[in-house]
Amino acid sequence: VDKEVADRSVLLKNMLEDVGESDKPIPLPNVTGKVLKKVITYCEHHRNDPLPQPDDDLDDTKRRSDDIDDWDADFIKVDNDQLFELILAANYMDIKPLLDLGCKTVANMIKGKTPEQIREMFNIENDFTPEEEEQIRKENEYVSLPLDDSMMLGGIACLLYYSLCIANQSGCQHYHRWASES
Amino acid sequence: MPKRSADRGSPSTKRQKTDDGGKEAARLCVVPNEVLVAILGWVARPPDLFAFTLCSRSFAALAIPFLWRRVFLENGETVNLLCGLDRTGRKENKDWNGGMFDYWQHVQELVFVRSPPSVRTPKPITKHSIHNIVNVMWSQEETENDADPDPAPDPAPVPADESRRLPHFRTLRFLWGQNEIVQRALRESPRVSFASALSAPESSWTSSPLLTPDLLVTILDTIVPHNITVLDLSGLSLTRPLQPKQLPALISLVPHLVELHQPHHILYSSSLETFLREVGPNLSVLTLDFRTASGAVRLPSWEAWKSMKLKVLTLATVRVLGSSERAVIGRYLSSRGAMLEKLYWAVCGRWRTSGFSNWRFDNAIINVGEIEEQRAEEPMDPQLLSLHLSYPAIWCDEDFHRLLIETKTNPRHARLTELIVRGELVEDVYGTERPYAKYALMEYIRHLSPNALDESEPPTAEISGSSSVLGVPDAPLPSVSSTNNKKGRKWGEQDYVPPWDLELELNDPSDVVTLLPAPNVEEVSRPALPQFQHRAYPYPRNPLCHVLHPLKRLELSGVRTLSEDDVVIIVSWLGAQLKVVHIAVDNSIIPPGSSSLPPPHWPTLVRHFVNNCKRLTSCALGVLMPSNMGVGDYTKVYEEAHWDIGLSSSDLSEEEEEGIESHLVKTLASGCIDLEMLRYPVVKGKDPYPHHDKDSGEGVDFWSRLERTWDSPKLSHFRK
Repeated sequence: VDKEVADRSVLLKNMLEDVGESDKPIPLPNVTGKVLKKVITYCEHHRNDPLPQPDDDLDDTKRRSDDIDDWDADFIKVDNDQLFELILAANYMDIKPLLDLGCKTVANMIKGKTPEQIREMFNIENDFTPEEEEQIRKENEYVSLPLDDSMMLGGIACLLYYSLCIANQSGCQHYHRWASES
Repeated sequence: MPKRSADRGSPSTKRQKTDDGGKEAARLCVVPNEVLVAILGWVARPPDLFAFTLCSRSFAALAIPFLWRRVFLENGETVNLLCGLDRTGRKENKDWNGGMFDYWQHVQELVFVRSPPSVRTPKPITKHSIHNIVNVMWSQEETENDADPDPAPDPAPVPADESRRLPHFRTLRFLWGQNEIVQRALRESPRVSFASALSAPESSWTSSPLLTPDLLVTILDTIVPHNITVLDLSGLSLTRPLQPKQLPALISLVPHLVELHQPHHILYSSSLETFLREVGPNLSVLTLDFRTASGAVRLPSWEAWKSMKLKVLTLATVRVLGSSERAVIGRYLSSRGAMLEKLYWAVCGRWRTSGFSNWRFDNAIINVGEIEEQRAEEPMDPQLLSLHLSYPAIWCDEDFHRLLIETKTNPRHARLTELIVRGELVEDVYGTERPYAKYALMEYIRHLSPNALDESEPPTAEISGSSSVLGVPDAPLPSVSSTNNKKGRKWGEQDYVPPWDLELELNDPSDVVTLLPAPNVEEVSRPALPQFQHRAYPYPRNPLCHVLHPLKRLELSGVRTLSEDDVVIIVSWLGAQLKVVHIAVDNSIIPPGSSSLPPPHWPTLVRHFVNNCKRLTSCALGVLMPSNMGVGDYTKVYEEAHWDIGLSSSDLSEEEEEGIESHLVKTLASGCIDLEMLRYPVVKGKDPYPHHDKDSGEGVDFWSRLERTWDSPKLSHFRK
């Protein structure tokens, strides 16, 4: 692999700087050959991209997970196993653009899914008790809905509540009338 | 139920077997926490974060802080935070408390915000909300106490267990809608009107107290660990101030305080002094803005100040300080002023009479008297980076001039990067124009520019896409052509090359002002300074004004008597040459009849500004009004027309941004429309430029053009 390509990985770059010029292979114990091949493909394609700077991190509010260019989108079309292997490899080898690409892809996969769907998709064990889950839903339901929706739901809930109260009251009257008559 | 730690069940520690032959699945649950956090950073929608939260306990522990933060950032309404938290304080849920406590473990900063009434507040913060937050912790403690089979019989108050408090919690802020932090959130929010947030009356928060003193102490004692470092009481009002007998409790609850804002909101003047005496030695940031106090507050005596070594001091008064108070603050500034990095100064009272006249951010000159012991101290290098001078600061003109000259001529102040002048500095309290102060300020601004020293160039400026010449009668402008901009010509390559290092690429957005004076800058021979010949007011030109500051931010807000030519100078010299990253000359409503420049002047200025403002990260276009406006039409339309270019470019695609920019150049160059009008369509039929059409000959279809502009999809960003 060209040094220029290897330099896309901060891990490799630092190792090469430490070791100096050498023909000895660099061990990457946490990356399988298949994944490494994929990583190299990515690095070769992006060999001329500017290296990310430490202050490149965008503010959270400015982050967008849908600005993936066509080549990257095609590159990352892999199954879930390979996707996470790629993410782990990018994390280990410190290749921030690839890590971002993987994270964006996962974020896009989560978009619009229910907790059950996410669990199923990523094989996550639900270790909440039903009470805990209900409690979390209660605590955070406000933020999980758009403002207007939550207000609307609140209004609907109030209406239902009052309807039930009225129905209950009239029901009681009917009951009492029926009971007294009988 | 035992308390769960945040790391319990961490995704990194769990690996699941899948059904396919026991092969270890590379799934989300085996990804390390750091990667999960990276993924969460890209999950933008709160509902998605919420779904993620519900996947498992460990995911919830990671995602809850993201969820709330996202809600705060996107909605810009921390009221939502409390509304949400409102639902957590259920004492009846004693059976389950560990999980919630896990989430609280991540809380580092708790912000109570009272939105101004004009902002949509579905659930304003109430005592009930805060009670409920407290209840979360109370229920925690009560549950654990209940679980104790053999509770200690000791009736003495047991010190609260720090481990049960929020371990990362360092900041407690009570803010209100006009606070800078809230404003920033509002600006970044597409869902909340920035303008409406700003228009809330400042006194709105004082009318309804938020807490009782007891409840405040309870919050500090119950939720907040005793090692908090930031206590911001800007938006807090109590039903009555804390009683003196409660003061020891308060002091004991915040022993490590480093940053303190507006303590007078909760304390009597006498208590404030005692409080500052106790916590003052640790403080590095102190805000005493007495303008927000509901009653008269006395400035603490020297006893409270003498132990403080502040780096940031905000001091503002609504009344003229008494002589003893002036002596105290003068004494502090003289003895400790050199340690200040930022000074926000809005104190009534003339410097001359208050003994400030020789204070120059410099220990070498002390004129306060009676502080001989301070003279013996080693002089310190002044650290002042930011100087904010606000209304109603009233100075003698000479003192103001001296201050400005001092900041630019003393190399020891070369670190000053912000000069913010807010308020009617150049008018006195009676509204009388103070020409000396005004032109001292203008002179200061003018000399910030290296090329302003060059008078060899003709006073012209070529504008992109136009051969127009900026017609500033008395102010020479250097040549700044669009072709030069595109090629990235370095400053001074063609013009006079100043002796300091000017490695500024014109079109590099990441470039900021890095102008530093050369070591022997005073010895370099320079061309003579160009004369700034004003019509009526001569001013003394200081030949020593050669030291260039790395000024990055200049704000002149509410300086109403700046006229068009003043603005031309500010925009041209600072915008075009110094690359000041923030300029605001807002609220500059030019009085009727003061305009003296010919009508073509403003369109040219607008074009010039637009051409140069690409290098600014933020600027105010509120000043860009035609000089030939009708007398009755220059109302509030132009106020607060901040255009944050950085924000707009982030929200738009490159193509959109280019489209808007070119559109703006075309539109603004006509002098008819500014951004404020694009944002707030004016009432049809009322032409704010009654003379413009006549003069320019192109405004016949002004309204239709405005409508087209407004309806353009490329300007949707500004319509929000």
